[in-house]
Amino acid sequence: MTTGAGSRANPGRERQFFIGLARAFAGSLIFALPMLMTMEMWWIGFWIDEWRLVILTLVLIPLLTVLSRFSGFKQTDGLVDGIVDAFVAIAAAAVMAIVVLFIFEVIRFGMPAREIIGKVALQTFPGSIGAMLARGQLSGEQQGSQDEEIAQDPSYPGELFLMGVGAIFIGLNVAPTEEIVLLSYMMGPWQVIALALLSLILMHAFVYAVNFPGQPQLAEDPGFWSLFMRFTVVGYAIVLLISAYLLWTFGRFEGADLEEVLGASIVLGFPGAIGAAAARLIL
Amino acid sequence: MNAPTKSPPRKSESSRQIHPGSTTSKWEWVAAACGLLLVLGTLGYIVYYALTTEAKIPDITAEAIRTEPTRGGHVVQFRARNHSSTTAAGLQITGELRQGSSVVERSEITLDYLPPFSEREGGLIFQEDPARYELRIAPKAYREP
Repeated sequence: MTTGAGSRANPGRERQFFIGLARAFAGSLIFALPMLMTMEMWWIGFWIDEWRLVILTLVLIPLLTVLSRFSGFKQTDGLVDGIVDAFVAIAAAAVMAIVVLFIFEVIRFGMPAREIIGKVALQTFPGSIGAMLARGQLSGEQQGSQDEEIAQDPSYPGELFLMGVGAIFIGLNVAPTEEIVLLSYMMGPWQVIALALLSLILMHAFVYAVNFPGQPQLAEDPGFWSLFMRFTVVGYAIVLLISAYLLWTFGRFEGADLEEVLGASIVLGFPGAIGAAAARLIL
Repeated sequence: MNAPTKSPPRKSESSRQIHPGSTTSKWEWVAAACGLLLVLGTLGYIVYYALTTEAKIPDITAEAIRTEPTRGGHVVQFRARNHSSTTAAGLQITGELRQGSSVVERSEITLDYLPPFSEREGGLIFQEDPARYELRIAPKAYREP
C-alpha cells in the first residue's frame, strides 16, 4: 500500500499482501452479503442469458483495474499491477461466494455446473468490487498516503468513474429484486418524472456538499451551473445508463417497451444517484 | 492508463522470481493466477454452454419417489426434473388418485423455479391412501422467468 513496501524485504511485503487479502475477503463479504441473501440473485444465476453473463464478467475486469487506481491493495501505478489487483479481488470474491452459497445450500453437490457457475459468477461481480474497495477503505493506517491523494482529488473522468462505481455500489443491492420493475408499473408517468427530478436535486445537494467543506479543492467557486452540468447532470446520465445495463443484464427488460425501460431505469436510478453523488463519501 | 511502465512484474510471473523493485509479492501473483483461472474457466464454460446448448421449451418430468402416511394425510414425495436448458418458472405439478377414469382426489403444487437440467423435490398430500388407487403425477403449466 505504501510506496516504501517495494524496497522492503520479501516477508514484509508478503505479510502486507496477506493483510490486504484478508481485507479483500472482508470487503467482498460486506459488499456482497445483501446480494448473497437475495433470492432473485440465486435465480438470476441460472436463468441469466449466457452472453449477458459473459459480458458482465468481461466488464468486471477493466472496471476493477481502473478502480484499483483509486483504492487498490497497494498503490498501483502500473497497468499490470492494476490487472493483478483485479484478479486477486475476483479470486477473493469467488472463494467467498462459493463458501457462503455452499453453507446456505444455495449451491450443492449434484447441481448442474451451469447453475453453480451462474450463481457464483453473478455474486463475484459485487463481491470483487467490495474486495477492491475494502483494500482502500479498511486499510486504516495506510490512509493518508498517495492512495488517499488520488482518491481525494481525482481527475474529472476519474470523478465520473467513481460516481459510476457509487451507483453500482448502491444500485446492485436492489437491481436484482422484482420491486424495481414493480415500482415502475405502480408509478404513473408524473411520479416517474418527479422521481427523476428528486434524484437530480438530491444528487446535486450531495455533489455540492462533497465539493465544498473541508476540502482544499478549487480556489474559486465553480458556480452553480458549472457544478450542476458537469457533475450532477452528467453523473445522472451515467447512473441511468448503469441502471439500464444492470436491469438488462438481469433480464428485466424482456418484452419491455421504451417507456418501461425508462421507467425502471429511473426507479433504479434513484438509489443509484444517491450512491453516485455520495461516492466520495462512501468509497 | 500508463501502460508499459511496469514490465518487470510481468517477467516475474513466468519465472516466479521477484525483482527487488517489484511491489507485487509472490503470493499476490498466485492469488491473481487463481482469479484469472476462475474467470477463464467461467467464461470458457459459459460460452461453451451457450454455443452447444439449444434454448428450447422446458422438458419436464415428475415422478413419485415414495409415499409415507402422516397425521395430515398420505405424503407422496415427488421429484421434478428439467431435461432442457430452459428454466420453468411457476411450475405447476398435479397429482391425481384415479380409479378407472374418475379422479378420486387431486393435489397441486407450484414450484417457484425449476432451473435447467436440475431437479427439485416436493410433497403432495392426499387424504386417501395412494396405494389403493392409481397415482399420476404430471407437470401441468409453467411460465417463462
